[in-house]
Amino acid sequence: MAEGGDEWELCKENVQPLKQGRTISALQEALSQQEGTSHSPIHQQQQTFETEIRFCNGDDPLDIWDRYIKWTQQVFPQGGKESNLSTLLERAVTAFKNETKYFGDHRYLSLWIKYAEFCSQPLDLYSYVHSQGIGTQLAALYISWAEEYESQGNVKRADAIFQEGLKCKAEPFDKLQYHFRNFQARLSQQIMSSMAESCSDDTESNPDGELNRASLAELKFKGKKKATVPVIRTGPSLKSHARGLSLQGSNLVRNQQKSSLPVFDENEVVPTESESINRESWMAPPSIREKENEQDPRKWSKTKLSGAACSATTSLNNKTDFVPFVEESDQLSVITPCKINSSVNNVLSARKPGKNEDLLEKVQVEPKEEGDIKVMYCKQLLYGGASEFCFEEVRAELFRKKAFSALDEKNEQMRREIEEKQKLVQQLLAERQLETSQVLPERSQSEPDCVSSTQAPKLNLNDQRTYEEPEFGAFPTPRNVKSMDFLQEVASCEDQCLSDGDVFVPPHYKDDLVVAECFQGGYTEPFSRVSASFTIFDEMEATESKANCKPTVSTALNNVLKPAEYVSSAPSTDQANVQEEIEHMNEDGILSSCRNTTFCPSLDNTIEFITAAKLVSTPFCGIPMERTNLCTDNSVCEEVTASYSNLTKVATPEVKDSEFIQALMIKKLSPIMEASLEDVRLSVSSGSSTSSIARLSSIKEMTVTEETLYGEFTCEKRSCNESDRMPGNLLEGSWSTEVRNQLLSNISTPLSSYPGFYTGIGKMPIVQESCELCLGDEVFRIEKEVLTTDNAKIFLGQLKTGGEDYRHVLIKAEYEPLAWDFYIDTQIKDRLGDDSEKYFGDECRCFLYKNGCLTIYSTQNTSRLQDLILNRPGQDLIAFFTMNLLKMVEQMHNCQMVHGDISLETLLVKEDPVSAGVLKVADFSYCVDLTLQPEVTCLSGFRVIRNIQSPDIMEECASLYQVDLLGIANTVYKMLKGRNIQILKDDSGLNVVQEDEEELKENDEKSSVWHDFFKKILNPGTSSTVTVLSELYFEIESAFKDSLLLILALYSDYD
Amino acid sequence: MAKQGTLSGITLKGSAELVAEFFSFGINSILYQRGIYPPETFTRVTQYNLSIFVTTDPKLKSYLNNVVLQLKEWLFQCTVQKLVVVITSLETNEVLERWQFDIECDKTASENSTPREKSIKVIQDEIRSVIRQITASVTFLPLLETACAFDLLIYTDKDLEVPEKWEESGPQMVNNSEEVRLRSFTTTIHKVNSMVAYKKIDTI
Repeated sequence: MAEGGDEWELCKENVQPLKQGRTISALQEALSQQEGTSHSPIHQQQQTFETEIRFCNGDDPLDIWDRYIKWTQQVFPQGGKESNLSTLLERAVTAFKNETKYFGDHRYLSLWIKYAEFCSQPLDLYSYVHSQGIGTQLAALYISWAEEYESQGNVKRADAIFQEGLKCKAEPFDKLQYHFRNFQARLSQQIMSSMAESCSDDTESNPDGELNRASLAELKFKGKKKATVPVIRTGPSLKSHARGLSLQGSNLVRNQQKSSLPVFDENEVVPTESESINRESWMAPPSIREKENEQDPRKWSKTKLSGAACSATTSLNNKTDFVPFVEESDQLSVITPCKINSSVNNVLSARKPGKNEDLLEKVQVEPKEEGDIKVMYCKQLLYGGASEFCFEEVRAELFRKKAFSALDEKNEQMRREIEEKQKLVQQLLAERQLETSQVLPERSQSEPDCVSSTQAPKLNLNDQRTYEEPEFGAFPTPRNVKSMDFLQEVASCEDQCLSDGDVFVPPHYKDDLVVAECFQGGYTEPFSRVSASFTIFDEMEATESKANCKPTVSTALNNVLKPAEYVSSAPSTDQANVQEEIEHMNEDGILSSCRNTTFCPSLDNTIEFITAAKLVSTPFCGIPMERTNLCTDNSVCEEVTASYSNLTKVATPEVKDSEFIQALMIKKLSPIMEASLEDVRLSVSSGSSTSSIARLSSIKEMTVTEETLYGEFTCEKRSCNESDRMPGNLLEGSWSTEVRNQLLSNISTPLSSYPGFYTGIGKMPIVQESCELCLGDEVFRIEKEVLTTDNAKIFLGQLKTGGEDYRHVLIKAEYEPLAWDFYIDTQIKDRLGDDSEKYFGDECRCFLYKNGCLTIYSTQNTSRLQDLILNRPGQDLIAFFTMNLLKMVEQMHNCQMVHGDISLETLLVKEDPVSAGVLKVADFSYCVDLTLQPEVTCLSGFRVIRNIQSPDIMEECASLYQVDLLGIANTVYKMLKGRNIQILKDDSGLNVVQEDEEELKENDEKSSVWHDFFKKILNPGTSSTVTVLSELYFEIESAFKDSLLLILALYSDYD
Repeated sequence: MAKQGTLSGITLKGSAELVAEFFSFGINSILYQRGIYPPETFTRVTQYNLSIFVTTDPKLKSYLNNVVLQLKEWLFQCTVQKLVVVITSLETNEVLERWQFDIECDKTASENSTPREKSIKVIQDEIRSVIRQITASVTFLPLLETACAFDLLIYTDKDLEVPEKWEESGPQMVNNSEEVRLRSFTTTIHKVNSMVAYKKIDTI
């Protein structure tokens, strides 16, 4: 049963085992990689390492090499050319061979030791290393060195090395001792076994009776020029490896030991404390040094030996004392000794000889410095790592570094400026009363000290006026230039991250904050600021004279181009000037501003293209956006960001256009959009209907309107398409936030003009049960959650109004910044006038935040209808509630409001016995204002419909009001029977499915009443729902007339 | 190897024997491969069409035989869940490697139920591939430089009484481990999954 991740087993022959083991994941990945893919992650990682090597400025370049090499070892399990390991190691060791600070570093030593594996004469390397003083205090050196000796059979030297290490107290000392002990154990075992063998002279050691030739064993070669292998290939001819899994090892060692018996005086001396070895070991270090100073007369190709640096020792020198000896005794064959040049080894070798030899050479040799040649290019950068870089790569890296550091600087600068400005703004706020004025926003690079000279923005400290003006410095011209440069630089930074948007953006522009928060690109600032400017500009006009719009082509165009340029400085007083200057800007603007920037550096961000598209394509669609309500709130004016540009909900084209620009900043938008039914609603302006700032996160469909630029207006009525697509989610279709925001922006009296409307700054505070919610100086205690809808939660709470006084409140926390409930509430109040007292009389306040909306009702209705009827109340009570419900819905229908979600859960009951039983709607989420959205016809989105789930309903309902009728029916049925209503159509129309005949038989006298009730409510026919409702009301009233008084009394028992 | 060759199917007893045999050879292989005992104390035998090294050390041999015998009994009773070979460093007592064999027993099989259809050869092939994998694990297992000792842990059902020569112990997990799953084999009554956990050692 082969499992998926079995490459390691299948390729086990290709994997070089590492001493430290391998991570299986790296192994898997490496083995499953396809060959030769140039952009594979491994190559990329390699590239990263290479870059790091060249450009690191840290203290520890060795670290990079170390990590690189370790990674290479893991990732290239086969070793091999691809990994470049030998080159890497060579470079690494060469790079630091003069850095004495690394001489004691175990990482550096490990590099050397790894490098030794590639050398043909590792012993040379070790002695070189030792002579250079690298790692002389580290146990690893001695351990590996001795291992090498041991593997070559030279146990005497190995022992000497160990002694040396012990003498130097190399670290970690116990490890050294451990290895030394093991070595001695091996040694003694060999001695003992060889002794045992020598006792039984002629008997062969091998239990099988003869020396077996071992397969794949390394043979010692003889011969100087040509390495030839003796005929007898057992016993001493084998190179022994003291460790390992070979069976033949034991044979070998024994034989080896035999040969070296004469060297050791083993009968007397146990190797642990041999003075003879000491003597020799004493010799060893000095000999190295001695040899270092000796200039070996061997000719090394192309390199000059400088006296101090290299030890040109070869193994020959080291072994002068022993080699001949060993050789003689081992020499079994009759081949006359001839000069061995191990680098010329033609036996079965396809590779050119001499390569390996050079490794040590290369390291030892100092690079020659020729004084008359100076390298004029960045040679180190190109060749610094293991592989060669090209110029472009170097440049790319330098550029990236610069960009990042520039970005950091900018961030720093902005931060500082923001802080300064915050302080200033605070001062100003404190000082003066501000009033509405016409101010053009400008880039806030400069000090806002000129604010005083311009119209001061009006700030609402204790009031809820809608307009808040940004506080602007009138920025003198020269600054603009600077600003523009800044803009370009900003735009050119690819990776400008505005994730911490609040910090990055100057405080004057709240919409900046909003926008900046949303975006990760670097394009928001200029756009938003600019658009804000136009907003303010138009707003003044609009408030004074309604919809006094002159959408000029140029203006619109200029709006388009605004993102690229700044409004030039003409201080805000002079509208006309501004206009003029704006007009000067034309297509060049967009292009010129992008002088030095890639036109679309971020692939996702196609804003520039979109913007440019406006110029070239017709018809030309704007993108609606949501509004931002930017009013200062008395409760949050402590926050610095109190002064913001205001985007009104007044539908003026300029406003639209400017905001339209903002819309363009949305990523992932294409200019080709559908028009929505809402476009029809453009009551005020001639064209567009969009006016809000986009929010990236929840935009699912963008509706598009024609731009007024061309004076045309081709919005289509696609209501059916859109509304038919409602998948039942509150956020979709007609109830989508965008749609509603559009609508809200279109209303004649903006929401913010109503008392009780506030704009909160920042994020909506989290509202949870048993928590406290602070809004300004009011503290609400949240008691329990009453209802949860798709995107909102409704809580009951209490507001402490001084002393021991409490007021009950109903708080709706919505996670969309949409003050729909507030709107509905105000509309109802407006439309009903005094009649609204009974059912809609509660004071309502709304706090709109960037990411949500809090609607607070002071209410007496503190019980859920759902809870009250848990005990299957009597019919009288039900009738009582029904009447109230009917009345309430009738009132709503009277003012063209469809509630959309009448059910037990969404109704609250007043506990106060005086006006007992009065119901209240808790949640207007599903409410449709038919004056605003007359085209909504599709019913499937209403929760009520979903709950009832009868297929026939949909066909039968003619008008939207019927949704409420259905809702009432369901509610009443549920009160009566405890379950959802089921409706079927038959000949006489929609009918309630009678499940249980017996149920009906109870309360016979009233069941017919209910029967008629349901019949009527489900089949209103062609009469208006208001009529139907009032009729029903009277019917129920008359039927239960006698009991009504009782009910009231009863009701108080039901608390 | 072919002890059950004449039978037509796998009985509970036969399955227990097969699995126990596997463990015997498997543990020997591990001891050899990881160098717990000197290689010269091992000798080659042929089993499952492979040549496997088994120990010649008499003490070790008898110890392993006892374990296997006990294991066989438990397998027959279907009370054993895991067998773990833990390799610890002699000096530091640190757990360096952990070979875990999970045993899933089909409890519906009892002494007298009908033998199941599965060819002995197939089972042996599967076992062979597991043992081959153990050998191949050298590709990623770190070198055990220090002298090591091994422990055998057996996870059994809760209420089993502890036999004389055994004692209770902890799980002996490896700190900071890499884990690799190996192949599994099944006799239709017992299924054995293997995996090895090892500690990644940094270079000296």
